[in-house]
Amino acid sequence: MVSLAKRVLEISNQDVRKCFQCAECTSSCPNAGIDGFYPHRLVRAVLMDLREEIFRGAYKMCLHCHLCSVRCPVGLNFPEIAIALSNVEASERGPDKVERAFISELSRRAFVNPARVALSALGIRALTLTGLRGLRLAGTLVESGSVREEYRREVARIVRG
Amino acid sequence: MLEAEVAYYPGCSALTTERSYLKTAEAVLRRLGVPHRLLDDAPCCGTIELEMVDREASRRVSEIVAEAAGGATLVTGCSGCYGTLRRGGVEVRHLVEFLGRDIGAEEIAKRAIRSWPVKVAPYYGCQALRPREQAIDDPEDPQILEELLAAIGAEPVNFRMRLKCCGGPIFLRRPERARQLAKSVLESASLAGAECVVTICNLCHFMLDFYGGGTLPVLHVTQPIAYALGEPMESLGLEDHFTPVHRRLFQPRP
Repeated sequence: MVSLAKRVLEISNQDVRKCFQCAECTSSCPNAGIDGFYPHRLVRAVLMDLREEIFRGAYKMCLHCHLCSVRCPVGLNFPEIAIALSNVEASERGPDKVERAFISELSRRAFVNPARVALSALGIRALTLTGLRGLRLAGTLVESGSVREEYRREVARIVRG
Repeated sequence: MLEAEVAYYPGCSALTTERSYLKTAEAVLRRLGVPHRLLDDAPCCGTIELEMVDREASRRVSEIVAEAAGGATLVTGCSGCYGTLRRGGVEVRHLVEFLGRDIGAEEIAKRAIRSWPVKVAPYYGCQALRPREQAIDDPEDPQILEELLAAIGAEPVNFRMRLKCCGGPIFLRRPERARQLAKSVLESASLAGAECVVTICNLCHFMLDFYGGGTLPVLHVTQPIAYALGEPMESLGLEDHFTPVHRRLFQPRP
């Protein structure tokens, strides 16, 4: 099996060997510590090829906000590393629940209605978490505009691989 | 002033939960006399979720969007779409960059027929500024949004969370954590004395407006600009917001 470090280099052009564990990324991260997410530790885990540890999924707490990547002294881009890890995980073990909801919307309609995705992924929780505002979400299920048929077919082909 | 046609890519949310963004973005382009065409039949950019599943598929979907623009200047008001398309190798401009640089804050000040003298918290979020390669302004201290808002008479305030994340990307995985992030943006804007927050992204707006706790009204940047350019208050789509917008934000002040 090709090492994770090599896969990350291929997919996202990020060389994790450059990291010297200064933890500037983790210090900048708004989500550090959530579900055991520490960007600098994950970078080291990639270098050590700790697949089970990584695919436990803490890296999905990355917000892709890039506060880390603008500050990394060796120019590593952590969100790109997270994308590469996710690509590897999706191809080896399949996409997670949220990704599946998106992919199914994309392959059927080439369009993502946030209200429908929220309702399908969170269910009744999406409504109860926000009280009356949640009920108004239903009104946004009606869409204006629709994707041109040739584009829709093309996206379906691409997304289904 | 501008000869080239603009192809405006609204992003899915602007055709569903964020209709008021599309409505007022179009009003701004129309009132500025920018020839434009709406790409409401182009596919979704696939956003970060498709990138997370298959980076190569994401690039190919971005190419379809570029193709739909057919040579016109591709402009989007959604920072999420902007980021995804940029990473997909597509030449695209963020609406704020288009208004602030291609048109210019001075030109907008000249065209404004009324002032919007409101204390406002300009919220940048992430994708319009970072990573550095796709920044529409200085990623650590941007001013482009402040300049646009000052041009229509607003008083922009500085606040702690103006460059931080709204929580959108983990909304479906960890809704409680996402809500904490969204709420902290509104709280910090309140602490700075703002009467409302202004966003430049479909997803940021959804998060703060729907999920931020309702402590402050959250406007799309194009709403006050359209208003200053002469669009009547009734056409700003204020009733589409989840958090009620006080009408007094858009009434003349003594």
